[in-house]
Amino acid sequence: MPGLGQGILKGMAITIRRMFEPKITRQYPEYRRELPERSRGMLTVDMDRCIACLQCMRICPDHCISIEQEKRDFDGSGKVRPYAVGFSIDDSRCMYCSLCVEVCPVNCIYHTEEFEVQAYDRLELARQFGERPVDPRRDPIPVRKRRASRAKTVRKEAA
Amino acid sequence: MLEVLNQEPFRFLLTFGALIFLVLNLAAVLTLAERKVSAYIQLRYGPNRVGPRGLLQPAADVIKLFTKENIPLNRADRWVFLLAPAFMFLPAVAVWLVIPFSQNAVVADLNIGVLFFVAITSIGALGVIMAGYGSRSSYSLLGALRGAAQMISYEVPLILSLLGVVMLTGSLALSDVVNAQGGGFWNWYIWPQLPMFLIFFISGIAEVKRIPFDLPEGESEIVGGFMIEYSGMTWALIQASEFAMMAVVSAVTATLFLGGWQPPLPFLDLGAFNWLWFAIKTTLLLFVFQWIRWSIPRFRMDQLMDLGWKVLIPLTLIWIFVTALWMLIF
Repeated sequence: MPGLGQGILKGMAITIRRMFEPKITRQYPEYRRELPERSRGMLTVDMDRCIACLQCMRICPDHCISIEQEKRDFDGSGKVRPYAVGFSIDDSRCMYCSLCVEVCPVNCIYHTEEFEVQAYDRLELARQFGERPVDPRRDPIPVRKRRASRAKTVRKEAA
Repeated sequence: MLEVLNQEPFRFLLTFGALIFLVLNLAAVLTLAERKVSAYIQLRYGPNRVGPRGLLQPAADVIKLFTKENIPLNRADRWVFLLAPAFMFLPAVAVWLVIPFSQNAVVADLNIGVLFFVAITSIGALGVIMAGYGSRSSYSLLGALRGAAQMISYEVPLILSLLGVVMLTGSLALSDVVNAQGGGFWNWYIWPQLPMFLIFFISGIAEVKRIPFDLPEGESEIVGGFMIEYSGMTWALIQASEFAMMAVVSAVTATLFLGGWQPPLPFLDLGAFNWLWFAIKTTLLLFVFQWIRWSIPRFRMDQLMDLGWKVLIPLTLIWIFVTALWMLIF
């Protein structure tokens, strides 16, 4: 009998003590934790530096980058260079793998510290950076199709 | 005008309307209190976005539940399914009829008030069985069977623990019980009936199916038990009735053992505002309900039955004899 209800009383003593202790919850919108170094937020592009090499578009596993390339003669010397007329990043697809950042030769695509991404329609999440809007749904490289056709030709050659 | 309102049908209708208003609001406030108490015990803040310090959270909840769809089940026994929440809610309102809020402030001062409380609360078990049976789902039925077993078993110690108070008072009317406890906190029945008070409170928790006796609901094993198939307002009504029953048990405990509206010390008599004492005692007991809920884990079914039949009932019987001997000697 002496130990009867001791555990219950002990537990309830702990809970009542916890009730008056300072709370540890961080109130998010008011309190924002400082983001760690090299944290990956939404992508952004510095269009002035972009050389429209399309490497980011090609390496992106989710095809979230769509670029419309155009050849332009910038200085009137008759030598044309590629130029990104349209550039869109679809944040609804991006998985923040940072491959495009690594591959970019001029470091013009990079992560910001912005991470609150929300919209009522997923197409709202596609951000346009270029002079002309690009359809973000466009699949830049229809990989499977190409592979299949190549396989077909290989098979034909083998036959 | 006031004399007309004091005539019998109007008086009853008015007061019953007021009681439904009271009970619904009580349920709403208790949902917020539950969340706040649980949060504070777990070192969180709880809801604090809607209104000042989250005080309007119940309003937001109600709007959400009203706009939610009440999904009717094709397989369900429709009328039983839809009537079950009402069968749970109405008893929770009806018991308030006999509880004295203050001197002369009781809707129906029945001379069998204690019996009325016991009889009406056991209708709640019927609601649980109806909900579980009407849903025609295996989890619901399991929950309902557990609920039936639990609520019928714990009805026995609940009734037996009331007998000590009834013996001491010599009356079944709750107003007589309260009047007999006047004159200060040393006259309250909690002191001569301390084991009975504890047993009444424990079986009261079991009656209202709260943790540590929430086997009919059993979130972790039977995913919601008898209320698994409910949604929208029917679900809200079941929740409201659970909170209202919790309030009823607290109020009855305060009335029977803690002196009801009687002030703790004679000079603290507030006259017509003595209902404040009743409110304070009920609120404290409600807090104890929530405190227990967030401290103690759930019983197993066999432990529950053991506690009810092997511990609580013998204890009540022993204490009834002790009370009888006490009355015989003094």
